[in-house]
Amino acid sequence: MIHDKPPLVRPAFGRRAAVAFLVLLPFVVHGLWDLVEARRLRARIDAIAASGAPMATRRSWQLSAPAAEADRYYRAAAALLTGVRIKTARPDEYADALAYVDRATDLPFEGFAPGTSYSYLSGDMVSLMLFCERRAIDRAERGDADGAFASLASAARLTRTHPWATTPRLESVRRVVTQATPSAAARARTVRAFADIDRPNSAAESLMLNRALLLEQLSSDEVSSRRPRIDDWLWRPWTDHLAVRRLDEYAALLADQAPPSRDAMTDSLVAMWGGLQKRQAMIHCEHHLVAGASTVCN
Amino acid sequence: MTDAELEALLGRYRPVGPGTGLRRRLLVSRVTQWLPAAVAFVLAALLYLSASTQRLYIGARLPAMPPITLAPQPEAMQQP
Repeated sequence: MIHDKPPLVRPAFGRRAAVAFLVLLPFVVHGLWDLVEARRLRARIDAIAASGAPMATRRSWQLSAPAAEADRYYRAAAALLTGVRIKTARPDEYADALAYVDRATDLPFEGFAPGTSYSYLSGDMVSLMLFCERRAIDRAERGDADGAFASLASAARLTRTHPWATTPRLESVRRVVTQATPSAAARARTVRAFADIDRPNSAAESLMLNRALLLEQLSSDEVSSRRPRIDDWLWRPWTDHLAVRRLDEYAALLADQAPPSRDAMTDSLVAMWGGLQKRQAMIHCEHHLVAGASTVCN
Repeated sequence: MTDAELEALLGRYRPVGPGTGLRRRLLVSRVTQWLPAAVAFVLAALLYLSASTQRLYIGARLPAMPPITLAPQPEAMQQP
Protein backbone atom coordinates (compact mmCIF):
# COMPACT_ATOMS: atom_id res chain seq x y z
CA MET A 1 0.00 0.00 0.00
CA ILE A 2 1.40 3.35 -1.01
CA HIS A 3 0.66 6.49 1.03
CA ASP A 4 0.72 9.92 -0.45
CA LYS A 5 2.30 11.21 2.75
CA PRO A 6 3.90 8.35 4.64
CA PRO A 7 4.37 8.97 8.41
CA LEU A 8 7.77 10.38 9.13
CA VAL A 9 8.05 8.81 12.61
CA ARG A 10 6.74 5.59 14.02
CA PRO A 11 3.13 5.87 15.32
CA ALA A 12 4.26 4.56 18.74
CA PHE A 13 6.47 7.60 19.07
CA GLY A 14 3.50 9.92 18.68
CA ARG A 15 1.41 7.87 21.09
CA ARG A 16 4.08 8.13 23.76
CA ALA A 17 4.15 11.91 23.35
CA ALA A 18 0.37 12.06 23.77
CA VAL A 19 0.51 9.89 26.90
CA ALA A 20 3.29 12.04 28.34
CA PHE A 21 1.22 15.16 27.71
CA LEU A 22 -1.86 13.65 29.36
CA VAL A 23 0.21 12.56 32.37
CA LEU A 24 1.75 16.02 32.76
CA LEU A 25 -1.49 17.96 32.33
CA PRO A 26 -2.81 17.32 35.89
CA PHE A 27 0.52 18.54 37.28
CA VAL A 28 0.11 21.80 35.35
CA VAL A 29 -3.39 22.26 36.79
CA HIS A 30 -2.24 21.33 40.31
CA GLY A 31 0.79 23.63 40.04
CA LEU A 32 -1.40 26.51 38.89
CA TRP A 33 -3.83 25.97 41.77
CA ASP A 34 -0.89 25.73 44.19
CA LEU A 35 0.50 29.05 42.96
CA VAL A 36 -2.87 30.81 43.10
CA GLU A 37 -3.57 29.68 46.68
CA ALA A 38 -0.02 30.46 47.83
CA ARG A 39 -0.34 33.99 46.42
CA ARG A 40 -3.72 34.47 48.09
CA LEU A 41 -2.31 33.28 51.43
CA ARG A 42 0.70 35.56 51.07
CA ALA A 43 -1.58 38.54 50.40
CA ARG A 44 -3.59 37.82 53.57
CA ILE A 45 -0.47 37.43 55.71
CA ASP A 46 1.05 40.60 54.28
CA ALA A 47 -2.16 42.47 55.11
CA ILE A 48 -2.12 41.22 58.71
CA ALA A 49 1.54 42.17 59.12
CA ALA A 50 0.91 45.60 57.58
CA SER A 51 -2.00 46.23 59.96
CA GLY A 52 0.29 45.72 62.95
CA ALA A 53 -1.93 42.95 64.34
CA PRO A 54 -0.16 40.24 66.35
CA MET A 55 1.30 37.46 64.23
CA ALA A 56 2.08 35.32 67.30
CA THR A 57 0.36 34.76 70.62
CA ARG A 58 3.26 36.40 72.42
CA ARG A 59 6.06 38.82 71.71
CA SER A 60 8.86 36.77 73.18
CA TRP A 61 9.23 33.12 74.05
CA GLN A 62 11.79 33.92 76.72
CA LEU A 63 9.92 34.79 79.89
CA SER A 64 11.15 37.48 82.25
CA ALA A 65 12.01 36.27 85.76
CA PRO A 66 8.76 37.40 87.49
CA ALA A 67 6.66 36.13 84.55
CA ALA A 68 8.44 32.77 84.78
CA GLU A 69 7.43 32.67 88.48
CA ALA A 70 3.81 33.37 87.56
CA ASP A 71 3.96 30.65 84.90
CA ARG A 72 5.25 28.13 87.46
CA TYR A 73 2.65 29.07 90.07
CA TYR A 74 -0.23 28.75 87.61
CA ARG A 75 1.00 25.41 86.31
CA ALA A 76 1.56 24.17 89.86
CA ALA A 77 -2.03 25.13 90.69
CA ALA A 78 -3.27 23.30 87.59
CA ALA A 79 -1.28 20.20 88.56
CA LEU A 80 -2.99 20.18 91.95
CA LEU A 81 -6.39 20.11 90.24
CA THR A 82 -5.82 16.66 88.74
CA GLY A 83 -9.02 14.65 88.79
CA VAL A 84 -11.14 17.50 90.12
CA ARG A 85 -14.92 17.30 89.75
CA ILE A 86 -15.65 20.94 89.18
CA LYS A 87 -19.40 20.75 89.82
CA THR A 88 -19.16 19.15 93.25
CA ALA A 89 -15.73 20.19 94.53
CA ARG A 90 -15.48 22.89 97.19
CA PRO A 91 -12.78 25.58 96.96
CA ASP A 92 -11.37 24.74 100.42
CA GLU A 93 -10.51 21.23 99.15
CA TYR A 94 -8.12 22.92 96.74
CA ALA A 95 -6.71 25.57 99.05
CA ASP A 96 -3.14 24.68 98.05
CA ALA A 97 -3.90 25.20 94.36
CA LEU A 98 -5.62 28.51 95.05
CA ALA A 99 -2.67 29.61 97.21
CA TYR A 100 -0.46 29.24 94.14
CA VAL A 101 -2.97 31.26 92.10
CA ASP A 102 -2.89 34.02 94.73
CA ARG A 103 0.91 34.10 94.62
CA ALA A 104 0.79 34.59 90.84
CA THR A 105 -1.89 37.28 91.00
CA ASP A 106 0.39 40.29 91.48
CA LEU A 107 3.09 38.98 89.13
CA PRO A 108 3.21 39.82 85.42
CA PHE A 109 2.11 37.03 83.10
CA GLU A 110 3.63 36.65 79.62
CA GLY A 111 2.31 33.23 78.72
CA PHE A 112 3.23 29.69 79.61
CA ALA A 113 6.80 28.58 79.00
CA PRO A 114 7.39 26.88 75.64
CA GLY A 115 6.82 23.16 75.72
CA THR A 116 4.86 23.22 78.98
CA SER A 117 1.36 23.94 77.71
CA TYR A 118 -1.16 21.17 77.06
CA SER A 119 -4.77 21.05 76.02
CA TYR A 120 -6.21 20.50 79.52
CA LEU A 121 -4.28 23.45 80.95
CA SER A 122 -6.86 25.92 79.61
CA GLY A 123 -9.62 23.89 81.22
CA ASP A 124 -7.71 23.88 84.50
CA MET A 125 -7.36 27.66 84.36
CA VAL A 126 -11.12 28.02 83.87
CA SER A 127 -11.68 25.64 86.81
CA LEU A 128 -9.35 27.76 88.97
CA MET A 129 -11.31 30.87 87.96
CA LEU A 130 -14.53 29.20 89.07
CA PHE A 131 -12.96 28.11 92.37
CA CYS A 132 -11.74 31.67 92.99
CA GLU A 133 -15.28 32.95 92.42
CA ARG A 134 -16.77 30.35 94.78
CA ARG A 135 -14.13 31.13 97.38
CA ALA A 136 -14.97 34.83 97.06
CA ILE A 137 -18.65 34.10 97.72
CA ASP A 138 -17.78 31.83 100.68
CA ARG A 139 -15.55 34.51 102.20
CA ALA A 140 -18.15 37.21 101.64
CA GLU A 141 -20.76 35.08 103.38
CA ARG A 142 -18.36 34.53 106.29
CA GLY A 143 -17.79 38.28 106.56
CA ASP A 144 -14.23 38.25 105.21
CA ALA A 145 -14.72 41.18 102.81
CA ASP A 146 -11.01 41.77 102.07
CA GLY A 147 -10.49 38.06 101.42
CA ALA A 148 -13.52 37.97 99.12
CA PHE A 149 -12.24 40.89 97.07
CA ALA A 150 -8.75 39.37 96.96
CA SER A 151 -10.25 36.19 95.57
CA LEU A 152 -12.10 38.19 92.91
CA ALA A 153 -8.81 39.84 91.99
CA SER A 154 -7.22 36.39 91.60
CA ALA A 155 -10.10 35.31 89.34
CA ALA A 156 -9.77 38.45 87.24
CA ARG A 157 -6.01 38.04 86.87
CA LEU A 158 -6.48 34.41 85.81
CA THR A 159 -8.20 35.79 82.70
CA ARG A 160 -4.70 36.57 81.44
CA THR A 161 -3.94 32.87 81.09
CA HIS A 162 -6.86 32.19 78.78
CA PRO A 163 -7.94 35.20 76.68
CA TRP A 164 -10.93 33.28 75.26
CA ALA A 165 -12.38 31.90 78.48
CA THR A 166 -15.76 33.05 79.68
CA THR A 167 -17.06 32.16 83.12
CA PRO A 168 -20.27 33.20 84.88
CA ARG A 169 -18.22 35.61 86.97
CA LEU A 170 -20.62 38.56 86.82
CA GLU A 171 -23.10 36.86 89.13
CA SER A 172 -20.34 36.08 91.64
CA VAL A 173 -19.11 39.67 91.55
CA ARG A 174 -22.63 40.94 92.15
CA ARG A 175 -23.07 38.67 95.18
CA VAL A 176 -19.70 39.59 96.67
CA VAL A 177 -20.16 43.30 96.11
CA THR A 178 -23.58 43.32 97.72
CA GLN A 179 -22.44 41.26 100.74
CA ALA A 180 -18.96 42.61 101.43
CA THR A 181 -17.53 46.03 102.08
CA PRO A 182 -13.74 45.77 101.85
CA SER A 183 -11.03 48.10 103.05
CA ALA A 184 -9.93 50.80 100.65
CA ALA A 185 -6.63 49.00 99.97
CA ALA A 186 -8.32 45.67 99.21
CA ARG A 187 -10.82 47.35 96.91
CA ALA A 188 -8.07 49.31 95.13
CA ARG A 189 -6.10 46.13 94.48
CA THR A 190 -9.15 44.39 93.03
CA VAL A 191 -10.09 47.42 90.93
CA ARG A 192 -6.55 47.42 89.51
CA ALA A 193 -6.89 43.76 88.59
CA PHE A 194 -10.17 44.42 86.75
CA ALA A 195 -8.87 47.63 85.15
CA ASP A 196 -6.06 45.61 83.57
CA ILE A 197 -8.51 43.37 81.72
CA ASP A 198 -11.19 46.03 81.06
CA ARG A 199 -10.12 47.43 77.71
CA PRO A 200 -12.53 48.86 75.11
CA ASN A 201 -11.13 46.67 72.33
CA SER A 202 -10.36 43.56 74.35
CA ALA A 203 -12.75 41.44 72.24
CA ALA A 204 -10.92 42.39 69.04
CA GLU A 205 -7.56 41.81 70.77
CA SER A 206 -8.66 38.34 71.84
CA LEU A 207 -9.91 37.52 68.34
CA MET A 208 -6.62 38.68 66.86
CA LEU A 209 -4.77 36.50 69.37
CA ASN A 210 -6.94 33.60 68.28
CA ARG A 211 -6.01 34.36 64.67
CA ALA A 212 -2.35 34.42 65.75
CA LEU A 213 -2.87 30.85 66.97
CA LEU A 214 -3.94 29.93 63.44
CA LEU A 215 -0.83 31.63 62.05
CA GLU A 216 1.33 29.69 64.51
CA GLN A 217 -0.36 26.52 63.32
CA LEU A 218 0.40 27.52 59.72
CA SER A 219 4.00 28.15 60.71
CA SER A 220 4.17 24.72 62.26
CA ASP A 221 2.70 23.21 59.07
CA GLU A 222 5.23 25.14 57.04
CA VAL A 223 8.06 23.60 59.06
CA SER A 224 6.62 20.09 58.80
CA SER A 225 6.01 20.48 55.04
CA ARG A 226 9.74 20.85 54.52
CA ARG A 227 9.87 17.12 54.98
CA PRO A 228 8.91 15.61 51.62
CA ARG A 229 5.53 13.99 52.11
CA ILE A 230 3.45 13.21 49.06
CA ASP A 231 0.09 13.70 50.78
CA ASP A 232 1.11 17.09 52.22
CA TRP A 233 2.24 18.21 48.79
CA LEU A 234 -0.92 16.94 47.14
CA TRP A 235 -3.32 18.62 49.59
CA ARG A 236 -1.28 21.78 50.12
CA PRO A 237 -3.39 24.02 47.84
CA TRP A 238 -6.55 22.85 49.59
CA THR A 239 -5.14 23.45 53.08
CA ASP A 240 -4.01 26.91 51.93
CA HIS A 241 -7.47 27.52 50.52
CA LEU A 242 -9.03 26.68 53.91
CA ALA A 243 -6.50 28.89 55.72
CA VAL A 244 -7.33 31.81 53.41
CA ARG A 245 -11.02 31.26 54.06
CA ARG A 246 -10.45 31.34 57.85
CA LEU A 247 -8.31 34.46 57.61
CA ASP A 248 -11.02 36.16 55.53
CA GLU A 249 -13.56 35.26 58.19
CA TYR A 250 -11.40 36.78 60.93
CA ALA A 251 -10.93 39.92 58.82
CA ALA A 252 -14.68 40.22 58.23
CA LEU A 253 -15.52 39.82 61.93
CA LEU A 254 -12.87 42.36 62.96
CA ALA A 255 -14.40 44.78 60.43
CA ASP A 256 -17.88 44.11 61.92
CA GLN A 257 -19.04 42.43 58.72
CA ALA A 258 -20.64 39.07 58.09
CA PRO A 259 -18.17 36.36 57.06
CA PRO A 260 -18.08 35.81 53.29
CA SER A 261 -18.94 32.12 53.54
CA ARG A 262 -20.54 29.85 56.14
CA ASP A 263 -19.68 26.40 57.39
CA ALA A 264 -19.44 24.71 60.79
CA MET A 265 -16.09 26.34 61.53
CA THR A 266 -17.48 29.74 60.59
CA ASP A 267 -20.41 29.25 62.94
CA SER A 268 -18.11 28.40 65.84
CA LEU A 269 -15.94 31.44 65.04
CA VAL A 270 -18.98 33.71 64.91
CA ALA A 271 -20.17 32.23 68.21
CA MET A 272 -16.76 32.85 69.76
CA TRP A 273 -16.79 36.45 68.52
CA GLY A 274 -20.21 36.97 70.07
CA GLY A 275 -18.94 35.44 73.33
CA LEU A 276 -15.89 37.70 73.33
CA GLN A 277 -18.02 40.80 72.83
CA LYS A 278 -20.31 39.75 75.68
CA ARG A 279 -17.26 39.04 77.80
CA GLN A 280 -15.86 42.51 77.09
CA ALA A 281 -19.14 44.07 78.21
CA MET A 282 -19.24 41.79 81.26
CA ILE A 283 -15.70 42.68 82.35
CA HIS A 284 -16.52 46.38 81.94
CA CYS A 285 -19.54 45.89 84.15
CA GLU A 286 -17.58 43.90 86.75
CA HIS A 287 -14.96 46.64 86.82
CA HIS A 288 -17.62 49.20 87.68
CA LEU A 289 -19.16 46.96 90.31
CA VAL A 290 -15.93 46.26 92.20
CA ALA A 291 -15.11 49.97 92.02
CA GLY A 292 -18.30 50.61 94.00
CA ALA A 293 -20.43 52.02 91.20
CA SER A 294 -24.10 51.11 91.23
CA THR A 295 -24.09 49.95 87.63
CA VAL A 296 -26.97 47.83 86.46
CA CYS A 297 -25.55 45.18 84.15
CA ASN A 298 -27.46 42.78 81.96
CA MET B 1 46.08 3.24 -10.70
CA THR B 2 47.15 5.84 -8.19
CA ASP B 3 45.36 6.75 -5.01
CA ALA B 4 44.10 9.96 -6.50
CA GLU B 5 42.65 8.15 -9.51
CA LEU B 6 41.03 5.60 -7.23
CA GLU B 7 39.51 8.41 -5.10
CA ALA B 8 38.12 10.09 -8.17
CA LEU B 9 36.63 6.81 -9.42
CA LEU B 10 34.94 6.11 -6.04
CA GLY B 11 33.69 9.66 -5.92
CA ARG B 12 31.72 9.10 -9.07
CA TYR B 13 29.83 6.22 -7.42
CA ARG B 14 29.55 7.57 -3.85
CA PRO B 15 26.12 6.50 -2.45
CA VAL B 16 23.78 9.38 -1.83
CA GLY B 17 22.37 9.68 1.78
CA PRO B 18 19.12 11.26 2.78
CA GLY B 19 18.88 14.86 1.84
CA THR B 20 19.07 17.63 4.41
CA GLY B 21 15.40 18.39 3.83
CA LEU B 22 14.33 14.93 4.97
CA ARG B 23 16.36 15.24 8.17
CA ARG B 24 14.74 18.58 8.93
CA ARG B 25 11.26 17.24 8.23
CA LEU B 26 11.89 14.31 10.56
CA LEU B 27 13.13 16.61 13.31
CA VAL B 28 10.19 18.99 12.96
CA SER B 29 7.75 16.10 13.07
CA ARG B 30 9.26 14.70 16.28
CA VAL B 31 9.48 18.09 17.93
CA THR B 32 5.89 18.91 16.98
CA GLN B 33 4.66 15.70 18.53
CA TRP B 34 6.59 16.20 21.78
CA LEU B 35 6.12 19.96 22.02
CA PRO B 36 2.88 19.87 24.10
CA ALA B 37 4.42 17.45 26.58
CA ALA B 38 7.59 19.52 26.82
CA VAL B 39 5.60 22.72 27.32
CA ALA B 40 3.48 21.01 30.00
CA PHE B 41 6.62 19.84 31.79
CA VAL B 42 8.28 23.25 31.74
CA LEU B 43 5.05 24.98 32.75
CA ALA B 44 4.45 22.62 35.67
CA ALA B 45 8.04 23.07 36.84
CA LEU B 46 7.74 26.88 36.64
CA LEU B 47 4.42 26.89 38.49
CA TYR B 48 5.72 24.70 41.31
CA LEU B 49 8.88 26.79 41.52
CA SER B 50 6.85 30.00 41.79
CA ALA B 51 4.55 28.46 44.41
CA SER B 52 7.57 27.30 46.41
CA THR B 53 9.01 30.82 46.28
CA GLN B 54 5.72 32.20 47.61
CA ARG B 55 5.78 29.62 50.39
CA LEU B 56 9.34 30.49 51.35
CA TYR B 57 8.19 34.10 51.68
CA ILE B 58 5.16 33.05 53.73
CA GLY B 59 7.38 30.92 55.97
CA ALA B 60 9.64 33.89 56.57
CA ARG B 61 6.69 36.16 57.50
CA LEU B 62 5.03 33.67 59.84
CA PRO B 63 6.10 33.63 63.49
CA ALA B 64 8.98 31.32 64.25
CA MET B 65 8.08 28.51 66.59
CA PRO B 66 10.16 28.48 69.76
CA PRO B 67 12.92 25.96 70.17
CA ILE B 68 11.97 23.40 72.80
CA THR B 69 15.22 24.22 74.60
CA LEU B 70 13.54 27.39 75.85
CA ALA B 71 11.37 25.25 78.09
CA PRO B 72 12.41 25.42 81.74
CA GLN B 73 14.90 22.76 82.68
CA PRO B 74 14.13 20.50 85.66
CA GLU B 75 16.79 22.11 87.87
CA ALA B 76 15.38 25.56 87.09
CA MET B 77 11.96 24.37 88.20
CA GLN B 78 13.14 23.71 91.74
CA GLN B 79 12.47 26.31 94.36
CA PRO B 80 15.59 28.17 95.56
